[in-house]
Formats: sequence, C-alpha cells, structure tokens
Amino acid sequence: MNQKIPFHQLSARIASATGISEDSAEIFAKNFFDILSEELIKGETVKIKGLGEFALYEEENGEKDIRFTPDKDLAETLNAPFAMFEPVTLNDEVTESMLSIEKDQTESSLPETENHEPEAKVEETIICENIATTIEPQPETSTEAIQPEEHLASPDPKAEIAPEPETILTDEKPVQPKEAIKPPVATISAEATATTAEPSVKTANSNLAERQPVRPVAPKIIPLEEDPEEYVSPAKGQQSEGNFWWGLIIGLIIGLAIGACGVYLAIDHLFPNSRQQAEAITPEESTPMQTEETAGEIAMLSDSVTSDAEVAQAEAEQIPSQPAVAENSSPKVRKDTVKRGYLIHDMAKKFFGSKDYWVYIYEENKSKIGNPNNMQPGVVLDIPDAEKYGIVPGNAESLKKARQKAGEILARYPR
Amino acid sequence: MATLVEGLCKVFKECGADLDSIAIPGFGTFKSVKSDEAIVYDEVNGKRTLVPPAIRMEFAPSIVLRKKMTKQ
Repeated sequence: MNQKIPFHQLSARIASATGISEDSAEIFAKNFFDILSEELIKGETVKIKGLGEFALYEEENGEKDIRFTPDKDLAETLNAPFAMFEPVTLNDEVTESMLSIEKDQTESSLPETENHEPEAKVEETIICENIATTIEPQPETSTEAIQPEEHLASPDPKAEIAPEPETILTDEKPVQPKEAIKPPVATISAEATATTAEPSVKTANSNLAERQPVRPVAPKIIPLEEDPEEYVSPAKGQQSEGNFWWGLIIGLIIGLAIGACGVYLAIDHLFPNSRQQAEAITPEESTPMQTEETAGEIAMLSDSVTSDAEVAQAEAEQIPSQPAVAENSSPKVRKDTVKRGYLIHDMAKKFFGSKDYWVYIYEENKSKIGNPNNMQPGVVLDIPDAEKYGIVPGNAESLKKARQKAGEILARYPR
Repeated sequence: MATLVEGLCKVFKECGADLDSIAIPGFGTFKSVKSDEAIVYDEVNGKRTLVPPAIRMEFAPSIVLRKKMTKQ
C-alpha cells in the first residue's frame, strides 16, 4: 500500500495477469506507452477502453499538459470502498465541530485545481453542477469529451438524482464544446473544471436545493463524561501505619534496655551506699562460713599461743607505742560503722586487704568494742592508718604478726 | 492485443485499489489519490453538503514528455 511500482514490476504483473513471459510483457508495455506518448505529442487525444482518456490542453503560460480521465470501470473499481456513501445535505443544527471537520480544512482541501478560475466559490458550486450533470450525457459535447457518466467517481448519484433528470437538462446550458474533460464528483478537492459556465452552475444549485437529503442527519455526538478516578491505596497506607507503630515499640524496648544497662553499670556512682548495703547483706549467707573459718584459725592459733605467749605480750606492749607514734605522725583517721553482716574482719579486708588485720582495728577501738566476739551493729570504729601498726598488705610477716595478735586477743575473750 | 490491454488495465485497477502509484519512465506516473470527506458550502442557497471520501486516479506526465510536447 502506498508503494511506487516500477516499470519492471508492472511488466511482471502484466505477465502474471496475461500468462506471457516477463520479457514480452515488458516489450508490450514499453511499446504501448511509446505509441501513447507519440500520439499525445502530435496533439491527439487518446482514449483507451478500460484505462481512460488522455487529452492535451494548453495552460495559460503556454505550456501544454496532459489531462487524464480514468475510465468509468476503472473509477468505479478504485472507489469501490466508498461506493455506498452518498453526498448528504447537512442541517443547520449539525455543526462542523460535531463532525470533527473544520471548515478551513474543507476549504483548503479544494486546492489542487488546475483550473484557471481563481474563485473557490465557483469551484464549490461546480461540484453541485457535476452532481447534476453526471447523470445525463450531453450530446452537444465534442467527441473528444468524455461523457459525464464516465467521470462518475461518487457513488451512484444516478440513484439519487434519477427522478429529476429532465429538469436539470432543461435548465442547464450546454457545456463548452472545447472543454475536453469534466472532473468527476470525487475530484472535489482537485482540478475542478474552470471552464464551466456560471449560469449552469446556479441552476444546478437550485436543483440541488430542491433535493431532500437521502440520509438522516447524524445524531449529535456528546462526549462521554468520564468519572474522575479516585486513587485509593488503603493497603499501602495501612501498612505504613502498622510499620510505624511496630518501629516505635521496638525502639522503645531497645531504649529501655539500654537505659537499664546504663543504670546498672552506673548505680555505684548514683547510689554508692545502696551498693555497700547489698554487699553487706549478701555476706550474711557466708558469715557462718567465715565465722567457722575464723574459729578454725583461732583454734589453730591457740596451739601456738601458749608457746609464743611471751613473744606476743612483748609485741603487744610494743604495739601501743607504735600507734601513738603513728597517730602523731598521721592524723588521717577513717571511720566505718559495724553493720549486720559487716564486722570488724570485713573492715580489715576492705581497708587492708586481709581479714587478719582486724586485730589492729580492734586495738584502735579497744575501748568501744570490748569483746571482739560480741560486736553490736551501729558502732562506729576508727580505721587506723596502715603505717601506724606496720600493716603491709600481702606481706607474710605482717600477716603472721596479725595472727599472733589475734590469738592473744581471743585468748582473753574465749567464746 | 486486447488481452494484453485488458491485463494492463487489470494491473492498473489492482494497483489503484491498493493506493499504489505506477511509474512509467519517459511517460509519467499514475497515482491513486484518496480524498477525504469534505463539507461543501453553497453560497447560493447557503446549504452545506457532506461529500463522502473517494479514490481517484491521477496522471502526472514526466518532464521528458512535457518537453517533447512543448517543442511540438
């Protein structure tokens, strides 16, 4: 479709249609059109049945041109898809916008006219004439002119106009004999004959006006009003809200966990007393063990007390002097309170690193404590300085001395 | 001879129905032109006529042929 058929392809088609060879078809086609062109050059008009008529005419500028009028059979075959359509007179109610055809386009679609009359109005009226004139052959026309019926490209105007042929003929004037070709109705937008007479045109128009439309007018086209589509995506919205709340809950849980860890780690700084109480309470469970250990130690030491009693006494006498010197040199005194589960040996371990050094705390608070086996909670004891009693944490000799001291003290206060 | 001419005309009909154009070297080009439907306004009676679309065949002579005719 919409292809350009070259000469050799035309020859091939002729060969297939007629059953001859392609070479023969090509020779035939070449000679055919050569003869045709020779005749046209001579000024002759050539009419070929089944194809059309080729006529020569001279333009205003002196140049000659060939006007081709297709044969009736050919024209009908070409226009077969639109053969069922007929011209329809439009009512005033029908607007061009309804038909989606602009008037300007229609006026501009009447262009390619080879006629010499510049007025487009005449061309339009010419069309009406052709509708009327295509019915009847005009005997006064020259032999060279093709009968109007042959120009018929519009569908069956005969069917429409047949009832009134006589009136048309009587009103019309004969077409100029020199006019060779009359354009078919289909050539509305194309070369309308410029040489047609105006009076004949007007009469044709009047006849046209008398005609009644064959077809009913097309109904008004009302554009459908489309309901605006509402964009709804509940699923996505709900999902986003759900995800938001889940994220919020998870974030709160994580925050609380981090806060709890931080509080637990920093509780010593926030509440130092509470931590000590907790440690004081927990040793209650092990105090029986500790008491047993101390009892064991005391029992072990008691054996060596009797033998080293004199040495211990000597040392005990020396010890008070040392504290006096130590007190004078080191005025620093710490205090601690005896609590339930937190006794003098716990204080020794806390301040001096070993429970055995409780004896020095006892010595420092001898007047307050009395019997070291029976200490009441709430008693505030002074924690001496380590240098006062020669306390060396981790030193074996220091520990030994402390134990000996403990034996002496416990000997005084048996359980 | 008549058969060949008929065959030629048949080919022209087929090509024209397909809206194809036939180019004859040294002679011209046969084109099938489709004209759309149009509204024709008659100023005389003020009525409008809806003309249906149509297909017609046009011929455009070649320059060679025109020159020959002009020379003559």
